[in-house]
Amino acid sequence: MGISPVHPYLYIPLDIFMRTDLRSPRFLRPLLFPLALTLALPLLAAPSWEDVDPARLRQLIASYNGKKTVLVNVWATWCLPCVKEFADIVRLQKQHAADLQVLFVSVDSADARQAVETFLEKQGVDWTTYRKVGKDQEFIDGLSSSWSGAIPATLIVDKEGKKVTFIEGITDFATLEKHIQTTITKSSQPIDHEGVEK
Amino acid sequence: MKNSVKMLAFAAIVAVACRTTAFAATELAIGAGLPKADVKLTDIADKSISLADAKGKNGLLVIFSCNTCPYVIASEERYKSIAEVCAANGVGMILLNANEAQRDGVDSLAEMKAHAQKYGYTFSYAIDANAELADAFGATRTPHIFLFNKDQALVYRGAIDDSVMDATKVEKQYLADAIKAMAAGTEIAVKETKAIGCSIKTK
Repeated sequence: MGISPVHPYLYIPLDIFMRTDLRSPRFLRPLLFPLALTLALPLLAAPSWEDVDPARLRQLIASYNGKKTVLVNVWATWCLPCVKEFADIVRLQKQHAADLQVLFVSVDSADARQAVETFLEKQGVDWTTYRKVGKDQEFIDGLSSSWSGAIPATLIVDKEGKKVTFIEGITDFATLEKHIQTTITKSSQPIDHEGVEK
Repeated sequence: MKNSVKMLAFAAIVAVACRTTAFAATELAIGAGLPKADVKLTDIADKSISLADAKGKNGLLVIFSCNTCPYVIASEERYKSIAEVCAANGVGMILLNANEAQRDGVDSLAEMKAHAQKYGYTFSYAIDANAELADAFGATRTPHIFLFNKDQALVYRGAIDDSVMDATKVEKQYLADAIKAMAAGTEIAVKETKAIGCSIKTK
């Protein structure tokens, strides 16, 4: 019974290792890539938080035309009703992944990035979210003429790009589920403005 | 049969009433009169004050506000400068706190007093019990501005300016311009604006 031969693939790293002078910093070179990848993985896994102005938001919504119903939710980490309803919206996205795209738009200030990302990670949000930039008036008017400006605010746009439901104030899973189911089932229906649910 | 009809009618009335209460009152229209002018409110000086009492010779500025909303905190310095504009133009100014859901906590009278002291309020800051005035005004957020002329008619509503969260980016001083125009008897250029704000926390 002879000694098992070394697998041919192992000759290459072994050869590199044997040729490397351990006293030289070059020894670390082969380790740099895996090290950088390890450090970058948490960043790659965290949902991104991109700036969005009214024009960009219109483009984003339009990009789902003919594909998915879109739910835009305007929120902030410091807004208690927003935080309260947030998990319901995440649940909705996960239950209707094939037919619905949730676009979270935060109105937190730019220096709150860490708090926002920590919150998103805790909530299990693994898709791109947004931060509102630019003047309020244009953003409000662009989202819904029914919106007074109070947050949270939620807009549902059907697959044809028609704004079908707007809710100002806190809502709940059952209400959203009803609206989403209706919107997904019916391709188009008249707009239903809901007022502030205090 | 008659009973069935009556029951159906009653159910319909209840359904309509319930649905209506879930909706926000519409924002007071430009030109509308000052609502609830004589309702007595408790303010941070432990005095009873009404909107009629707070009115100046040229009008009244009502701001729905609170103690913790970042949009309010970002506006505190502007409250001071607006108070100066009001004083210079004979306009009364009062802040109302309608956050009934937080009345036992961050929006209690004691917290309102501490907040007013911290930010050096020189104007009235009163409790809007049960959000009675917020409902009458159709106020939904903080800060939410309502400006009335000397005849108690609404002449401007909305935001202080066009950049609530960042004072360095203000380009249009909507409220200050409206107060000056109103006192001067000239036309107010922009009468309605909107801004993002914290929702009023009613019970």
